[in-house]
Amino acid sequence: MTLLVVSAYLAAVIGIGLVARRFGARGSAGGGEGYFLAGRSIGPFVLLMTLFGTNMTAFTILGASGEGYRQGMRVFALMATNSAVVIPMTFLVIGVPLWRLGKRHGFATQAEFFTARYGSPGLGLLVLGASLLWLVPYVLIGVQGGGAALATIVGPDLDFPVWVGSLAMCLVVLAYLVAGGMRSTAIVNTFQTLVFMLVAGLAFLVITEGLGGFPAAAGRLRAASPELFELSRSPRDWIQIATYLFVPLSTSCFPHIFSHWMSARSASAFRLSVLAYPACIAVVWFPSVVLGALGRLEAPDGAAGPIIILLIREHAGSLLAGCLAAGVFAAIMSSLDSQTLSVGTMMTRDAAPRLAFLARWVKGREALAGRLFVLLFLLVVFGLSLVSSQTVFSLGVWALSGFSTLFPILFASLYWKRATAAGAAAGVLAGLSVWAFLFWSSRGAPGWTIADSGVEPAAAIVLASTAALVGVSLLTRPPGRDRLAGFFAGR
Amino acid sequence: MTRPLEGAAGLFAPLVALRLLVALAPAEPLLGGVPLGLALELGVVAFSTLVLHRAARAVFRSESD
Repeated sequence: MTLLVVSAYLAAVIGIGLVARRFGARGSAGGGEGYFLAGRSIGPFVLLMTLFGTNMTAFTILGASGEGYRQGMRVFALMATNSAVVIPMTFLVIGVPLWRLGKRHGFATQAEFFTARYGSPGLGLLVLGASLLWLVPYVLIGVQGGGAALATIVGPDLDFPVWVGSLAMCLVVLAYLVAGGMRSTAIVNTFQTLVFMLVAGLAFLVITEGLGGFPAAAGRLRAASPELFELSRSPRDWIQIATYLFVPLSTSCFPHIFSHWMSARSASAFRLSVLAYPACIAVVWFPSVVLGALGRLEAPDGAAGPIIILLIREHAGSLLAGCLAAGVFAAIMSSLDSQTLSVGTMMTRDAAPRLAFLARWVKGREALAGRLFVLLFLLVVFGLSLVSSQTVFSLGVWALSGFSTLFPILFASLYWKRATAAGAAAGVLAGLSVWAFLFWSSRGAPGWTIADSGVEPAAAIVLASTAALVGVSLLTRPPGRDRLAGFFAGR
Repeated sequence: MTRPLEGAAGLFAPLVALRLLVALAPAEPLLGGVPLGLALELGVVAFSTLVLHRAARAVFRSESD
């Protein structure tokens, strides 16, 4: 039954992707801009669903409940509330002005924006390299995670191979990405986001009912494990919650979020995303974290495998297990498609023009080149998922902190006229160096904080990047008026 | 600093301050099964929507000037 539900879901996703492509062919621009950005035509609701869906991963369903099981309700304070406070604000203060500049200058990638803003192709290349360094392992853990999740949900009895789930995800994403690019991605993401929001709510209702109702189950949990109800058990916990505010800043630096911002129809299309994002976070994170904590009632001494799967096996049938698998796939694929498309965009627009043997061929064939890069990237990622090591997995987990390196540069590009190309490059290199040092110091352990003080690595990375950006910018010649004219006119 | 950012920053600082205070909230009592601290966290999420609504108004008004 589980495999049947998952198969039906994947078929529905492909169908929606293909229909979206036909819809897009009638209504939006063709060529590179049509393929990569849906002709900048995405409206408010689809923009909200794609931005939210892209930021939700398998962690939101499986990992958050696992952390809820280990740490209790504080996981909501740490990750959900901080994201609800920071991410929509970045949509407003970074996304909206970037969209205006993107529309005016025709930007499709971060590297194009940085190159034009600072007049430095080298800086664009540096941002491209750093983005790929973090994005590839980040994508890889999604592909591996999807396969592993399906194998776990199907159950050990069937001995379902992990690679089959990974391959299925890659093929489905490839089908609708090649067919319709951003248009298909946006529409499919809308469907997938609705699916995993529904699954989270459904799982909460069914499991709490099975536990005797939420208030009764919570009462029993308080008696058994009162520590799971506390947000900050020590100053270290509070410091971690406070410094975790730096982590969601990385969202505004993801290349795939940049692409989605650029695909918006208008600046006002952002308004719904800004206003509804916190509620969307609560709808998905609250059930995940609370169910994870309630899992202690069922498995007080540790769970074999993800706690949410154990709870579903215990309190729901194989139909809901299938829905959960579909929800996990939805969460992973709604990120995988956007990330893959953004790599296709970056390779076509940023990398290929710098390579003599590709530059001439790509010119005038951007959509075709984008499709080929998407195919190539998914092949590479699937191949790597079969052989990748623990180091690559750790790199993926740490990618989130890595992207926060770019936040000060992005922010300064929009709001600080005195920022220079040398300052921006110094900021990227300083952040990258601190990130690499902390990654090495932690041996890539997830959840690691600096000297076990509770200080999140992202806080140190953002501060180092900011210091280098400001210091070097002030020591170098200010940008000329001509350079700034297209970026600060009227502001 | 440009005007859209001023509009947002003036509202964002109190929100962050509230967020940091709520992280110190106790677990007791339970409100319909939800610990007080978690209920207040949900309150912060709701309050952030209100703050974002005002910030969005300021930003879009400023950008249309």
